[in-house]
Amino acid sequence: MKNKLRDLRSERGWSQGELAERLAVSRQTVNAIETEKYDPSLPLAFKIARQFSRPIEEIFEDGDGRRR
Amino acid sequence: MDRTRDYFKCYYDPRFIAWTWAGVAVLLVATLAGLAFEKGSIGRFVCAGVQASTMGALIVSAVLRMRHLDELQRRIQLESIAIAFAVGASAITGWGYFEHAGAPRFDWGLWIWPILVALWASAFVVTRRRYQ
Repeated sequence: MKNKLRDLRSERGWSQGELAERLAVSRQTVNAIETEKYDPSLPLAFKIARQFSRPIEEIFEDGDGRRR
Repeated sequence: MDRTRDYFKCYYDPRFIAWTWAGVAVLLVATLAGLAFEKGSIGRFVCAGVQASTMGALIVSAVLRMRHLDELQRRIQLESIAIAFAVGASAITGWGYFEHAGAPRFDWGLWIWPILVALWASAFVVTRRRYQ
């Protein structure tokens, strides 16, 4: 699943570690989401959306959804 | 450097480490104390009971520690345990066939835990790399 997490984080000038602390996860988890090696659970996706004050679909992009 | 700090933040908890080492010490003392008694004696059985219950406590503490991990770390641990279980079970079953064919008997009861832990650790290193 594609996402804009890295861009949003950079916009705010946060390091991966800082964002990880805000989300109460490890830095490796933030890195894995940014590099699209790991798709977060729905609760974590909501947490990320709240952190950036954006709707989930604006941060995470479901490739299949666009084809319908 | 950052990665190392992150690793310790996830897995390093002084209380957990202290508890684990205390458990290992109890296991060692119980093992050595057990050797002072004859096989089949009450003293030997008491020491075996201490060993078995300490082992159980160590497993419970490891499981409780996992509840503090985040979702990705839990997934990595789960995948590692699944791989260790699959490889360990295959090895034991495989060796069982050889034993039936005449190969020497192996004392799995004593070695199964160190083997599974070693497999778990190896699987953890491999699985963790997939998410880096």
